[in-house]
Amino acid sequence: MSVANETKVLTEENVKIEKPESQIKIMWDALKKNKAALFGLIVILILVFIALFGDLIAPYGATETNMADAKQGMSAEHWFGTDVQGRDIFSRILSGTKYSLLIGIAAVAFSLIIGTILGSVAGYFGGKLDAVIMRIMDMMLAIPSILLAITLMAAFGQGLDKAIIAIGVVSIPEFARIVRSSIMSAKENDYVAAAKVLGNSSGRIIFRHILPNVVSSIVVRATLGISTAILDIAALGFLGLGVKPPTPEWGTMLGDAKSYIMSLPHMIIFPGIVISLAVLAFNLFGDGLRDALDPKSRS
Amino acid sequence: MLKYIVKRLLMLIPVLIGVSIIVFVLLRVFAADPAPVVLGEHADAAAMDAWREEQGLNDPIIEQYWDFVTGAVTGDFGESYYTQTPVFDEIMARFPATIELAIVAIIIASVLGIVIGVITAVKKNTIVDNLGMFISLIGISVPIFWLGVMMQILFGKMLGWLPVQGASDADVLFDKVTGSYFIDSLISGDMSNFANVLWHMILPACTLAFYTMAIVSRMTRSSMLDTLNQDYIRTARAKGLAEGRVIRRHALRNALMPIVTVIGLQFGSLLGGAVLTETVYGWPGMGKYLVECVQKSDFPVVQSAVLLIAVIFVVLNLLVDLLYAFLDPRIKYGRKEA
Repeated sequence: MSVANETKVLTEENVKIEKPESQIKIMWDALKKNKAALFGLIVILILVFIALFGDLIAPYGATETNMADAKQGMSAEHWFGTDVQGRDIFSRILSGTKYSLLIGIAAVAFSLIIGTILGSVAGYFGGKLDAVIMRIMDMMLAIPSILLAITLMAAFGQGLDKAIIAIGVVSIPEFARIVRSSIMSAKENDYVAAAKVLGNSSGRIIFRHILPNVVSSIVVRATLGISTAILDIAALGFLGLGVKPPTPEWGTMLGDAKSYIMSLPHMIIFPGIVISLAVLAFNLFGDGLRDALDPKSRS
Repeated sequence: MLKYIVKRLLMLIPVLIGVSIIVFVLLRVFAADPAPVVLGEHADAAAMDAWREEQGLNDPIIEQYWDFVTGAVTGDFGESYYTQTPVFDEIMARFPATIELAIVAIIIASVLGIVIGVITAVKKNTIVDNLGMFISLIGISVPIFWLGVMMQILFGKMLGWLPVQGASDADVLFDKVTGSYFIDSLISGDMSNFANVLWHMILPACTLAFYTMAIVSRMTRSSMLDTLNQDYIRTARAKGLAEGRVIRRHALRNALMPIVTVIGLQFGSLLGGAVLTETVYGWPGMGKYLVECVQKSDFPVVQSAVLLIAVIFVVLNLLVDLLYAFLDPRIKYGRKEA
């Protein structure tokens, strides 16, 4: 036992270098066996493909109106039917993939970056700085997230960039909390003390020594966060507070369809199915990642 | 215990001051000028300026905030830009309808969520478990408002079973005393009124409950799986207790703590979800009103409504913490720093 410990200490430098790679391999091995997570990953990859090439595959232009073909149901020409202005809903969904996916991923990236910085600073330095940052997070958490997003959109006005910020801001506290608690437990480790003794700066210790070790829990949370972000952007679009029409963002399409629920149900059914599928995919993949990283559930 | 409650209540004050600052700064500093929205794009500049002056929007921002906070403490939240009625009255007229919808939804969600969670945990890795978990997964993946619309299409349009708009039929009239449709229809003395309200409640409440039910059932399942592996469960079985009793009295009781936390926390996001559900079903509550006011730039209403919801949210979180002590006698607040 003591011998094993000693070797571990001696080779800590090697372990650190190899660790990211081996962790990814362990994760992938566990993930491969999880069919649901693989399904999620495949759907995500398809969505990314559509986001990149959707405009090329789409049979019609996303904003191309054609009053002669307006309000049609499903047909061979228009798989998902057309809307009140004769726009092809299938083409709009394909073309809208990039907006919904971009907003979801960009919003999570936004909250991830700011939340990680705030959480790291709070967790590492503690004391007054910690108290101030976390009380501000508490204030943000005191408002239900969709309400805070609505208030932000009311303040900023409609738009793609504003939607990203609004949805990103509401999940900052969540990331800040996760990172803070991870940092607080990680900073008690010997390798942090060693790094300190060697004269590393606080920033270097946080970003080079601590964060890489807590990155897995952040990645899981971020993956699940994308699904929440896609739901939130859809909600804002539905309320008419998201991206401006005629942009074929999925939520905005639902907002457009609001007045035709009973007369043209296909206008609202198909974008909703796609949103649900995208959210489901990120949830399944995120759950799979979490299980793959959790040694308890691996057995 | 009492000391602890008082301390926690005092700690809420800075949080709520912070919330009021956040909301106020967003709506008064960042938001576009409401004058053209309220008076119309073509109102002349002098009229707009006179209106801004009248609403105090030309005062320094600190002064505006001070007026808002001092007013709020005394129950004066200002007046709606449109109706000139006090915001407090407008909100209170609609608030009970939101609360009753949320309470019915949380009851449905808790009961169904715990039942599904317990069954899936007990029948782990069977088809029942997979089915239950699949339903929960759908619950957390489907946009709540879209689910509402689908229910409207299915139960309203196609089957014609249930009403899809409002809290009661237009020809059902009763005095609005409390603002709660349940209570008002009951005290009208006519049971058919109550039945009508109940009938209208079914779809919105189930829609609102679905997401929370999914969260509760997932939490219940994992919490139950943890406790079912404990030694005292084996002991209980070994001493010959009926399986049903083992699950209810020994496992569920001990698995309940995290479940209660989740339910308590979900009530707050339920109030957020109510915004969407009410908009879909035309439910005459605060959420629908709030969205209308955001679209009309009626900021006095928006800031007060958000602040009110935040108050409810933080108080609920406090109640959940206190409920811990009740469920788990090992927790004693206020002795030391707990």
